[in-house]
Amino acid sequence: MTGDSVGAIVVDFPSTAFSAEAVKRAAYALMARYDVAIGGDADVIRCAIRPAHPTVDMATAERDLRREVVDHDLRISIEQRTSPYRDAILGLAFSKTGLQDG
Amino acid sequence: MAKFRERADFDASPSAPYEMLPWRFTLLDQESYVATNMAGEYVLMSRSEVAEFADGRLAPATPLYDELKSRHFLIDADTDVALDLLALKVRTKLAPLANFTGLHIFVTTLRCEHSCPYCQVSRANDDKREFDMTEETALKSLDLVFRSPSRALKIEFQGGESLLNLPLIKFVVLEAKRRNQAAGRDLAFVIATNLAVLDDDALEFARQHDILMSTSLDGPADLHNRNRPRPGKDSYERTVDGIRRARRALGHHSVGALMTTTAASLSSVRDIIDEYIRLDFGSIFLRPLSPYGFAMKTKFYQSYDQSKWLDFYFEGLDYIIELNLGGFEFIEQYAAMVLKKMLTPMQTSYVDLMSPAGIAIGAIVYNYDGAVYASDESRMLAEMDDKTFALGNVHDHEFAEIMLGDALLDPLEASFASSVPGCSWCAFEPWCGADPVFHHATQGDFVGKKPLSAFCTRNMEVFRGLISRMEASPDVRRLFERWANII
Repeated sequence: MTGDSVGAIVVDFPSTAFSAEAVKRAAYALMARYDVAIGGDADVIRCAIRPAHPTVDMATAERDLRREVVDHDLRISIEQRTSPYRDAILGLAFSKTGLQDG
Repeated sequence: MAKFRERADFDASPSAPYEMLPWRFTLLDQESYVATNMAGEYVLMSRSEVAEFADGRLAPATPLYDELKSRHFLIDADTDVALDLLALKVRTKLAPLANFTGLHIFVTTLRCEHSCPYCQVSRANDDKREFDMTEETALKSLDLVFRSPSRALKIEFQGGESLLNLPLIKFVVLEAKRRNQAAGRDLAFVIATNLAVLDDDALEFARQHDILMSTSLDGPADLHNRNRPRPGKDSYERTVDGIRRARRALGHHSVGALMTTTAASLSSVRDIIDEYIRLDFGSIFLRPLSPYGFAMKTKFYQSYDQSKWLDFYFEGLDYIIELNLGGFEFIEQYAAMVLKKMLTPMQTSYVDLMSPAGIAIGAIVYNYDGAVYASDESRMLAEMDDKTFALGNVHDHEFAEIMLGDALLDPLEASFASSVPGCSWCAFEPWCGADPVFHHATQGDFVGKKPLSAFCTRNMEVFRGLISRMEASPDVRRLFERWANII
């Protein structure tokens, strides 16, 4: 256990299964309830969870983080796979508006 | 031997794989997610359905597949029009951007005879004329008004108490109408007033020039007078009398009212709504407090938290729904504006629900001294010595300097909801707004940390509350669809 994780709930995510971006987004989304310190190495993304306030109940902290990471991993996957369509739709939406250069 | 092949042979969709179009999902409750497409059309899905759809495993010829297909969440071999339709809807939502700025607020004076502790505007004693807008400043402001590309121009007079500088209001109206003979815009005027100093002269002028009146009404007499002290302690009586006289002179629908929620209001939402109904208003806007001006200095903003306001809001909304389902038509305006974004391809002109933010491009403020602010809230911040959103001065700056300066473009660009953390992956983003002034005021930057943002948490709960109610009841759904198309 590192100095960062003393007294914290530690949750590991295998780097092969989850992106660091998904973990960062999850930590961001949960910041009102938890302080999540992110570390790890090439194989593991390690999160140390602490309450953001003394009144925060930590009983569901690990489940909350795992669920949030899974959701964000899926969101990132959807974003990547639909990105060409997004660009095409915005291109069509802005065509002939006179708002573009050229 | 059969003459024709089987029906399934002509249907390419069931056996063909689909491709997802861009979509986002956000938790509605413990059981379900809200999924939205780029135009803000939504579908409810379970957790397993979200995963199945994202993994390409969603079975065709199921109700969910058809629903997702009809709302442009996917394309398959059976259809190729979804991209064009979706682009058209996105374009419709964004089209109003080219027609900025529709609302021009003239602060005719800072003088006011009320001393409301929650007031968002710093006020001056009503004998200090140095806080009045001059005709010279008004003329320069009008130069900027008529530079706006917007076909429709609304000039709203605010204060202080705007009617304390009635000569300036008359001057602006007459000059704007004179200029508009050549400009040919759809020109409208609103006087925002507490109605306490409304006299026959002002009413007659308003009648001659089709000027609307917008006033403040916080609820029943005891609540209103507690919130809005003035000499004589008769704010409520004067407001109600002013509403009656203004309606008689201008027409019933030419007078609107806005309420402000204070800690004292929280237990009285039904009484407040009943008061609006008693005074024959057709709607109410259940508004939260803003973190600006006197509301901050007097600690009024801190006096209740978001959860209490949300309880207040939903108690009021449910009461209004109950009234409607009982046959009495009455609208909650905030819900109606959100529903317009949820259920139609149209946008609302309400600045707080615009992204890119509505500052300056939705509404712009010309202060009594010629300073130009990006919004009413920006002016309030400036009164607290924070001039981040001061765009220039009508006496010193041209239209292009004001509208293309860093003071405006930086917050507009930084806060664009589609590209900021927390919003870019949120399914509610198409319905929400970017509010750089609020986040600057509360967190010190234009974007803000959304999980800590009262603006974000409040709106997310409102979105969830509206969806839950219309999904639970077809009658509420029909009511909400009506509201979405009225407002």
